[in-house]
Amino acid sequence: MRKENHDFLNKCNGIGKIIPGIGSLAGFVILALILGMQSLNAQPLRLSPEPGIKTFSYEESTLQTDIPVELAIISSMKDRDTTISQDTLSAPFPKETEVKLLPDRISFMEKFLWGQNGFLRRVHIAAPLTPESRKSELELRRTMLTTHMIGGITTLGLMIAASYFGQKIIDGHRNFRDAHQALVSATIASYSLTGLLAILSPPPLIRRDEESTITIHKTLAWVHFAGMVITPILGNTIGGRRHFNISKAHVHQISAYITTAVFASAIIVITF
Amino acid sequence: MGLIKYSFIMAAFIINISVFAQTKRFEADKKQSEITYKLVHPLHEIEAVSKDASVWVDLDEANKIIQRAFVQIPVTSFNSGNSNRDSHAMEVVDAITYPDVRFTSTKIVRNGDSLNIAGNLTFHGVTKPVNIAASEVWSQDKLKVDGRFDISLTAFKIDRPSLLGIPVKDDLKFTFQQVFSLK
Repeated sequence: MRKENHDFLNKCNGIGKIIPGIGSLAGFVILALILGMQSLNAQPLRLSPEPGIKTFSYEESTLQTDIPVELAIISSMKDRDTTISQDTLSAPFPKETEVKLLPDRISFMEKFLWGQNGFLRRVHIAAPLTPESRKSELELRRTMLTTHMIGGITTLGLMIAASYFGQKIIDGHRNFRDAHQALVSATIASYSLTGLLAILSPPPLIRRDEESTITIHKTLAWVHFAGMVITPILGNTIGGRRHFNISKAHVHQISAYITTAVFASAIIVITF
Repeated sequence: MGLIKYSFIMAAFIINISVFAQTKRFEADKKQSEITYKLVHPLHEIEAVSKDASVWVDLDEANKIIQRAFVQIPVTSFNSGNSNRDSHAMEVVDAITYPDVRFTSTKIVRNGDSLNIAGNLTFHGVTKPVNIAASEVWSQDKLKVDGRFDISLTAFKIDRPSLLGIPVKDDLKFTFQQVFSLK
């Protein structure tokens, strides 16, 4: 009985010696794992040879896409949920910013034509609103606005030419009437096409509530549009070669000059 | 003997945690921070400001050392005061496909109050190394970092926007001021 007790005590003593050993080993393994995990965040300090200059660096691989060696070891040792997310070890970047496909401020015409359920989408002229279709629309917008700019400069040239021949008529050269009429017709056609390119273009990506050169450009557009309606009407009241009314011609002339000046200002203002 | 080993392990563990705690991540206060780009056209200069940049730094507060820096800026957040111009800029940088500019530092060299921050800038889907000249001012509860850097538009495969047929210059100049509350 005593011998059995003695053997049992010896066994217990042996286990008692083994357990702290296993415990110590486990402790060191845990410590090694903790150190390994922390080394993913820690940056080794390097002192440059120049006095007073400290250089801190770390491997780029821990920041980007390569799995750090320590993490790979942990992952291979334990294929569990305890593996650390790489995001928490590197950059804190949230998800990509979501870009709104249509601006918050959208004009009536833009909404009617290019809105999410706009007319052009309903009749299948424009594709449904997706990031890809919106990119195509922005390219179309750029083409339309570039053409609008070229059209504006062309229209200004035609306006100046029409004004020149109009001045000649007032100065007594009545034979320039046909040339003036032709240039006026060309000006009206060019002006209308130029304006439509801007009005019908797809909306931009961003539109804020602000005062800018574009605000002035659009305000001036209302003024020269009024001038483009009034000036030809006034021109029609002047009368033919036999009943040429010079006072009405001067009113028409002033209206035309103001319209041309405002139109030129609308072009110049967008360069600021 | 076992107790001593355990005590040693626990002490090492606690020391280790305290060392780890030295590095702390801070995010810049957007109300006090901004980043600006400047674009030069023969007719005029354009400046656009973003007050929506997310900037993080890993700081060793005890030694007042910036260890790492991360930046993410939504490209649509830049405001030049002319949304039509900004919308045009969004077209040339393809903001729908690449909505953010990102920067991750790889090396920070400190010389007095000056910093040379090297890192990778991802813009328009292209990643290039950049060097940022910066300065830091530490106060009791704030860290202020100012800096500047230039990039080439063509290097990031961006078609230079043009006005009246004249393209802008290739250099895009960035300046920034970031304020971190250390409370």
